[in-house]
Amino acid sequence: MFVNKTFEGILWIGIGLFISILAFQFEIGSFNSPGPGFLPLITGTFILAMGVAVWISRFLSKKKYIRKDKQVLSSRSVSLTRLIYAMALILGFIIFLEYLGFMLVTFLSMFGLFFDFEKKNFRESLLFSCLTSFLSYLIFEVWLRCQLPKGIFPWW
Amino acid sequence: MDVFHNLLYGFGIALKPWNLISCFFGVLIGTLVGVLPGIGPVGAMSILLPITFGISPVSGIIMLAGIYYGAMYGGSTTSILVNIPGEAASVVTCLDGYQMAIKGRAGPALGISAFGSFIAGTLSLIGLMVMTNILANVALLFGPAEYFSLMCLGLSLVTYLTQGSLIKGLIMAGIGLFLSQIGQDVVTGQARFSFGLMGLIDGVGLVPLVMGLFGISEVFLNLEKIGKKREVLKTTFRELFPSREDWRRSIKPIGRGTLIGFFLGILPGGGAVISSFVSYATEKRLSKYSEEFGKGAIEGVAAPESANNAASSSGFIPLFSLGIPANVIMALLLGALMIHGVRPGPLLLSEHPEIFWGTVASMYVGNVMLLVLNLPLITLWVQVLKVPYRTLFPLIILFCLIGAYSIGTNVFDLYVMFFFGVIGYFLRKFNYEPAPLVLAFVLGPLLEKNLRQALILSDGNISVFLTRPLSAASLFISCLLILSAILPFIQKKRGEIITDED
Repeated sequence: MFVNKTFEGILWIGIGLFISILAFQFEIGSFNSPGPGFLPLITGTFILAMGVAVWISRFLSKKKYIRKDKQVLSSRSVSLTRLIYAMALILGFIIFLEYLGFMLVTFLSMFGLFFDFEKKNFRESLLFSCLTSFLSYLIFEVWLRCQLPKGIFPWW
Repeated sequence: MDVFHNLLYGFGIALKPWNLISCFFGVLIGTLVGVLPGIGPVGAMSILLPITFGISPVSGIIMLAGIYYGAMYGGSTTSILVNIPGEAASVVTCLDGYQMAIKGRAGPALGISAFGSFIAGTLSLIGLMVMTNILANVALLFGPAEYFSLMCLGLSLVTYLTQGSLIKGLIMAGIGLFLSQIGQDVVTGQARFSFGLMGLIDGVGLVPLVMGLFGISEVFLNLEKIGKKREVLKTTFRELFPSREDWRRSIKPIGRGTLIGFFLGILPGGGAVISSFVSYATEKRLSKYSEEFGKGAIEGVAAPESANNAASSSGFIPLFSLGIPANVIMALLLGALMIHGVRPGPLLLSEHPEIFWGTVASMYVGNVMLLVLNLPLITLWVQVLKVPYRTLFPLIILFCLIGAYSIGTNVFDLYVMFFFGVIGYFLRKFNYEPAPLVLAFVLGPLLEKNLRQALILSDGNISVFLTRPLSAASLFISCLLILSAILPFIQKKRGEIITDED
């Protein structure tokens, strides 16, 4: 926690400083005529001050440090793998949406998301992903007339 | 009499087929998200926000409001049957609701919760109609200086929205304020902080931001808990009606819960959550059966459930009359109205009466719908509870992706949503709450515009904010709010023990 607070404090000081410097790219103006950089400068300074407060608070607090029991490492790594896997699939959906089209990219990403590595539910995932892509196409493209990308299959 | 005529006018709007469908859809989704642990009303509202752009503002707001108070109803089901609160305001219902269910009295617990919610929701709507009119008339006297101070008051609510560290809440508000400044300057139109990205010239969109911070990040967090099974206690429709004795014991707690919920709901920051705890504590102190609390006292279900529903209605008062959101859900509604070109505030009643009266009337209709949905269909909701999160989360992600894309048919919005999803995940991991960020993001443009206008009009005289009575009063209340949050925070700091994962 001690290290975390130092890191957090420095991070916010850095962000506050960055915003304040960026604010000077625009006219700051005066109280008579505040410019586009006026409030960003105040905002940056405010975040910087809060960052300093976080950083200083580590010296002021008289705290006992208690270590929590560590979670089982294997279950942590399983959830982390699942998280990174889900993030990768979402990012894949975004990157390939316009190239592959809505139907195909939805089917592929939904198959990946429904698939359970422990249960190996291949058929179930296939069925759910087909249903999801078809129903979402019907609801959003046909019924709500959303302009979803067609990609390499222009007839969809 | 005026109120009565206006209410009739509101019913004329609320009972139009499309608005009825919107209301039904809203309360249905609300009940669903209330029942399902893992997605709250904020997440659901942010996911469905884009759908409202295709319909009229009235229908959109009716639907979003329905999700909010529907979630309050639905949240009690999981609290009572699974001992997991569907949303934060139902936490306290677990204490006695689940104990009643264990004793085989799940039916009366669910029944009194639904009836209590209905009575409280309906009664607090009367207060909503009266109070909004009064406050809106006062707010007509506002100029830029008063509006700036009012926005400061709105921002000071951050201190109440923050459940953890106050400094972290303030940092989040600062970041929200900065994000609201990305895009064209509100006065000169000059592009700011776009970093050469075309997609940022119009600023960060509210929908991808909230979908990322609440929808996607919530999924990421829940992915860590996947696989945990829930034990659901059974109940049937026949068992739902409370006995005469149950009613006798519950009627006063429902009345007190309604009053507490209504007044605390107007106050800033998580009104529904706080009011449910306060009403529970009040009943525990006043009840003849105080020793039964925590072991299955029906008053412990009736009072908090009435209070959270009353608070969910009265939370609309500051939004509709002053244009300031009392909590993050109201901030979302404010954002939705502004996207539709409607500015909530003192002029809402005169410029868009259909929105105010239509929404109020739809809440009466929605409360009846909720009673029908929650009692006869209880077995269906119990089945819904059994849907594993593994099946649910891909659908939530897909809704977010389609929702964010369909607003401007722009892939850039998806990147923004993903970015804020990841950021939101890490923020929550480090105990930074996204609610103050969203509040500041929504209020930011109004704050900046009014600050600059007030300074220009007063020729740079800062004292204008203190010499005008209404402005000074708003700033004074802001200071009181901040002080009232800081003082206990400083006291709490002493002798605090912090656990460390490292």
